[in-house]
Amino acid sequence: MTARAGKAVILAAGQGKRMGSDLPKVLHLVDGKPMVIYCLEASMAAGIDDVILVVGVGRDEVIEAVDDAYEGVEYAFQEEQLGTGHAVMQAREFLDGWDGNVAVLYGDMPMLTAETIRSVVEHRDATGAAAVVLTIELENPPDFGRVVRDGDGRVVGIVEARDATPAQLAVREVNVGAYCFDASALMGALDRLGTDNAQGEYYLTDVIGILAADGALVETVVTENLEETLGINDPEHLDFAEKLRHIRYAEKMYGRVDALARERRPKTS
Amino acid sequence: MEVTTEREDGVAVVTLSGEVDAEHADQLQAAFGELLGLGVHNYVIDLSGVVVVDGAGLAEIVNLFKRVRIGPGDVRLCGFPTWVKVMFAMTRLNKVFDSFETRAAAVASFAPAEGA
Repeated sequence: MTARAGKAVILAAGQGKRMGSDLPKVLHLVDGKPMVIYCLEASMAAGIDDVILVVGVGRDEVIEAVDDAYEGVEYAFQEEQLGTGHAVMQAREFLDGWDGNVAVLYGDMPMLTAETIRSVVEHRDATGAAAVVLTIELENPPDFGRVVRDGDGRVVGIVEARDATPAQLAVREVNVGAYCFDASALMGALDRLGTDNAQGEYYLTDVIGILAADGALVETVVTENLEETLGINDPEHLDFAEKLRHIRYAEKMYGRVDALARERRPKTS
Repeated sequence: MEVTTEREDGVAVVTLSGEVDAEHADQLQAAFGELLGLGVHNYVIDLSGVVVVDGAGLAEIVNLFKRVRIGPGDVRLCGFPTWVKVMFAMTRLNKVFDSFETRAAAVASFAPAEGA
């Protein structure tokens, strides 16, 4: 099954203060390539080649780097860093009038694969949900948003860890940071976002609660691939991502290792 | 394959010998799983007795690395026989794992730097 044509909004406006460098966060290299390029590649390989990149800090550098790699990417500008919901609002002019899929992805997640993006988009195609959220279930979740469900198992919202109650923090299913929305549902919910939260920002995750409160269907796709959830926030994460890229290469070589091992194996009589 | 485990300065030292391959992958996974269940996140794997390693064997070591490195832990290697070293270079896993000539050096590498 091929993902229906859609648009992707990739958030790439952040500064990345913890990276310890003046380079815009998404331009830090993973295995020789700016991390945002991996996100673009995954989106396009998933069949979504109509991409709007939301840029902010270091926007000229980001645009130059992306234009060197791809033609046709459109840019939205986030002048102030007022949250992930605010970032998606900046892409409105490219989404108005579109009534299909809108994938929302993060430019600092270089391990997310095309297969996973495709599975999220295809799940929306199959269910007609207003939103599909990629989640993962973890024994001891880090500071990711918790997926809150009602007694019937319906998703009713995502609560950021710093805004969560102790009971919500105990939830094991967390938001990874990849979504597919119905465009018009997303636009309508963005209009109603507020900033009544711990950071005083417009959270994209609040869109999920707004849609659920309207009675719209919100679905999840649960990944078991922990490495795909890696978001780069500091040099340690960057080093790990670099190593994970090497591991992906190694995993393709295991067949050759097997062949050599067969030759090497001690003969048994 | 034989797996022996010792603890040195909070580091699990896992000594592998024989054939680290598909036939023994479950055994290796169980040994690592037991240590993970105990909350161990720093590992030295001593490969000096390894005769053969195949893709399944490498995958178990790599999976341990993924599990601990996403948190505060790491997996470091020592005692490479030449043939195993070639396998790590061919797969580029030599760029993933920090490796050391001796077990003592590998264990010592986990000690906090002076003044840190």
